[in-house]
Amino acid sequence: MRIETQVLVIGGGVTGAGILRDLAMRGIHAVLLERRDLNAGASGANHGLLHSGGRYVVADPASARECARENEVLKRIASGCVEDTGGLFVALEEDKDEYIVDFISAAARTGVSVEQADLKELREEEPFLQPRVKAAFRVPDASMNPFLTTEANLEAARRLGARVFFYTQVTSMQRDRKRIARVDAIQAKTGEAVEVFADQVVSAAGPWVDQIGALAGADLRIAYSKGSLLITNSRLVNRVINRLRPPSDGDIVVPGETVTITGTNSIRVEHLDHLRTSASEVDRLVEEASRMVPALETARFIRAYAGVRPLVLADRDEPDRKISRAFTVFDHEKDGLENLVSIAGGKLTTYRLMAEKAVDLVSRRLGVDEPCRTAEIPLPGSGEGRALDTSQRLERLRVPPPGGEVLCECEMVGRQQIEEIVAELRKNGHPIDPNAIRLRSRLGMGSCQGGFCGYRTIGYLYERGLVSSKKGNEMLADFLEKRWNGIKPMLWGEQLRQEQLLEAIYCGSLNIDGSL
Amino acid sequence: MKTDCDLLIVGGGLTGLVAAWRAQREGLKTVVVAQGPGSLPFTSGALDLLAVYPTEAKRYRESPWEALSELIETEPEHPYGRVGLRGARAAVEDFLLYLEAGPLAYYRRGEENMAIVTGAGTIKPTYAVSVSMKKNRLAWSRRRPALILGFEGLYEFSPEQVVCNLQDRWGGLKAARLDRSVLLDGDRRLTVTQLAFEFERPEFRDRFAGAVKPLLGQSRFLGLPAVLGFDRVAAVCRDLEERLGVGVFEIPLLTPSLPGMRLAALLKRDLVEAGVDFRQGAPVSRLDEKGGHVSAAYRTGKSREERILAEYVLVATGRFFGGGLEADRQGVREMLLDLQVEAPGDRDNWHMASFLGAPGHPINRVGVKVDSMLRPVGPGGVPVYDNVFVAGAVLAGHDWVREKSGAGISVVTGYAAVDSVLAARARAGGGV
Ligand SMILES: Cc1cc2nc3c(=O)[nH]c(=O)nc-3n(C[C@H](O)[C@H](O)[C@H](O)COP(=O)(O)OP(=O)(O)OC[C@H]3O[C@@H](n4cnc5c(N)ncnc54)[C@H](O)[C@@H]3O)c2cc1C
Ligand SMILES: Cc1cc2nc3c(=O)[nH]c(=O)nc-3n(C[C@H](O)[C@H](O)[C@H](O)COP(=O)(O)OP(=O)(O)OC[C@H]3O[C@@H](n4cnc5c(N)ncnc54)[C@H](O)[C@@H]3O)c2cc1C
Repeated sequence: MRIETQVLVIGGGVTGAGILRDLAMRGIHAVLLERRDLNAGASGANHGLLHSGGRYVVADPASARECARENEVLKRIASGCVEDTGGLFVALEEDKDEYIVDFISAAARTGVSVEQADLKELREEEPFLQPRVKAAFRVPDASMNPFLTTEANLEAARRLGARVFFYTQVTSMQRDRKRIARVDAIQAKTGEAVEVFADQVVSAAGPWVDQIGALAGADLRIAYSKGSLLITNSRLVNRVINRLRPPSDGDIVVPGETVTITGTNSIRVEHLDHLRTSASEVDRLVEEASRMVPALETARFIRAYAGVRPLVLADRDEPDRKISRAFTVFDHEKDGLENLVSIAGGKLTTYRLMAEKAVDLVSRRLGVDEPCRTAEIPLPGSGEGRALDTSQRLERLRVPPPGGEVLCECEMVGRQQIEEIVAELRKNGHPIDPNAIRLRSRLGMGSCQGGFCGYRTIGYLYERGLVSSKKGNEMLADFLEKRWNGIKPMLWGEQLRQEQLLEAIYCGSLNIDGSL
Repeated sequence: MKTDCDLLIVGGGLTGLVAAWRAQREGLKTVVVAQGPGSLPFTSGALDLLAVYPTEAKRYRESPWEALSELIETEPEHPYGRVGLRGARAAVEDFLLYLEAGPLAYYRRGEENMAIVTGAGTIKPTYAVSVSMKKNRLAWSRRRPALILGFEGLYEFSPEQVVCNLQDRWGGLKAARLDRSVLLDGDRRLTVTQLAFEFERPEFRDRFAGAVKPLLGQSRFLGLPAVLGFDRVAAVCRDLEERLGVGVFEIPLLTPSLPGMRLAALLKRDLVEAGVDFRQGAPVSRLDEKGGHVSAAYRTGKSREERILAEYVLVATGRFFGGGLEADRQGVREMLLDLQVEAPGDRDNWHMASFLGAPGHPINRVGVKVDSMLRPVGPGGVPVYDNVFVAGAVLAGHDWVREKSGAGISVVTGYAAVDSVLAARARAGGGV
């Protein structure tokens, strides 16, 4: 396949999606290539916290300012992806008083809204919060669904004529002196080669940005920092709870729709694939988070996952937590490359701003002087309204889908919704498998982690003739193996019991591990 | 001391039921305490003995008995190793004769394993099946033209999945679905139990046969999900065969699984008729033990505590799913008597990196260690109680999921545990 376009965007995480939309809104023709599916990198492996900036006020004021501003913007333009929970910073008895003082004055300096909370009120609002809290502050943190966000950005871009290719991995670049003349990619599902001719190339490949740079001969110094997160099967807190101390392990608890997400940590890794969370990481995160929310000690955890932050290395050696979480736009002119821009670092919270800066640079190079309007125009599905409040959102999740035909019982995903997603995938020429459906719904996100509904989904795909021969069963095995990576570290108590039932059914009853 | 029973069996899964059946017939006054139904209602009802050995190589074995003798040689700590070939043969023979003569008319293929088609379109090896799956094996082994039929709105079963997965090896296989409006009023989702009720009604079968006949074409067999009634499944199959003029068989499903429920119901009914005191609901919450001897068990219900004095106790509490074992972040515990179990190192080592891979997850081999009499042992292999025995899935040293040996281990160790009780009684001078 041969593609000609003004701008090629590499990477289908939230940053790449935001860039694609911004380009399209400025009338620039653009194509995005993603080596896997929606949010395959850090965008699918984070806390889903729309930061107020509070976490960064003391150590990284630039990031704090960016977060504070973007927090307001996204609550407006991405209201359909945000649940405006509000957040808290809580100091426990063992936490240092000096940090509380620093926190308050730094918040004032950076424009992060902080309001002292009444501890008695708090106990009513957050019954699972540790009762021995010595101080607490309200901040405008919120919970943000990164899958909806990326999808809404891609959809907006598609409506303006941009094109998105999933399972299409950039493998090499042909350089013609100061320019990338051609980008080569390969489609994983079909093996088809893709050649892209673009005036400008934007690499939004997250932690892979150094590898993409290397293909063009650009040198980027990136370190990889892995962070792990744990999910429980129920929602234990109403607000985002942050520990009021210098950023450390296990000090954030985020309510995400029907679940609670706790984390995270920071461990240097050498490789980006096959990330695993070890039992000792899990134990430490559970212990730390239960200091703030003791019920987490006995909660039912259903999954662990890990993502990698690209840390843009300064010249001196700094500890990872100290490296700025602000983002960097690499203008590769200094490497003698006129048509490559790389962008890395930053946050989900600042994706829109990151996109704006990257597209500003690309526009200048292309001689386009349309202004950025992504801070004003809402995303599809976000209307002009405010973010849904918690009760509205939970209401939506609890109602059985129309027709009562439920495929995923844990998360109330209906057959009709699956049908709509499948139709959408087909329209976009996207390969159809249970993982693709899972990423676009809540299918498989509940207690069984897809163990039951994954099977039903395969049955449905066979029924509709969307898979044939042994393909569906291979997809099922593949789906079970993929989910396993996140389940394996969480197997104790009730979750182990459930998993033993699933293994007994799949291997004991159905023999899918060794069909004759 | 006066006791309430000779043998108290804790656990009402397949192991507990098998042991109770045998104990009562041997004249032991038997009480079963079952907190819940155990695994049986989830099983395919097909009785596996041993079909994969060694599991490292995922080697399928046509002859379970040949594989069993090898296993017993090489793995003396495996439950089968503990019991030995003679005991295993006698138990399986006796139990199957009983099931073959009963209303579920179990069927086996001589001394060999057989292969049946499952709802996932996979082929499962097993040793014995109930009458409703006999022709499942026949149709597959002869690759006769067959229609696999599903029901619109029954998400547990996709006939297309079965056909797509097997058609390269089975010509003349077709899939079809019945629109539910042909059979039933309303447009609700169909469930397995709802269909089972319907199939027990002759009027429904009449309508069903009328709707299916035109779809049959050249098919010599009709394969249906396992929904053909409850305990009258044999009669339902026969009736459908007469109406349709083809062989009819059931295909086991993911869950819920009627063939497993039928077997559980049959065993329970026969036990109670034979005089076993079967108490379901409240669990055994604690035991009186002193000097390596257990004298009484307590069931704690909502309002009162009930004491059961027993001469011998059989622990048949299952694994994690049954409730016999529990794990927390630190390790694994046996829940009834805190018997010795060793977890395979720290939690990172409990499971393999692959869910479905070989040889199986190390945690699956964790369980209660026993001596050759099936008495639980402590460090050094010495029995810790003189009147406690252990049987079934809770035992250490097996991986029934990968070996395909689930029911076999229950039957063989259930029988052997009763043998041990009888031997201990004889030694103690108590006559039977
Ligand atoms: C543990 C953790 C927790 C976090 N929590 C939060 C939080 O609560 N709030 C917040 O605001 N931020 C959070 N972040 C940060 C946030 O997740 C990231 O900043 C953001 O997701 C980065 O998005 P991205 O699109 O730049 O990169 P990614 O999401 O990593 O996307 C890069 C994409 O490029 C693709 N790609 C790579 N190589 C190729 C190739 N050769 N060809 C084609 N495509 C390629 C990858 O498959 C991937 O999809 C967290 C990060 C981590 C790691
Ligand atoms: C989903 C699934 C599918 C299977 N499929 C097959 C198959 O196709 N073929 C096959 O041969 N095998 C199959 N098996 C395996 C086989 O049936 C089991 O290994 C076997 O039934 C285990 O029996 P058990 O009685 O030892 O344990 P369980 O069935 O787990 O029973 C344990 C019993 O102990 C009770 N209990 C526990 N603690 C207490 C207490 N304190 N007080 C009172 N009661 C207590 C429980 O309530 C339960 O009644 C399957 C198992 C499962 C789970």
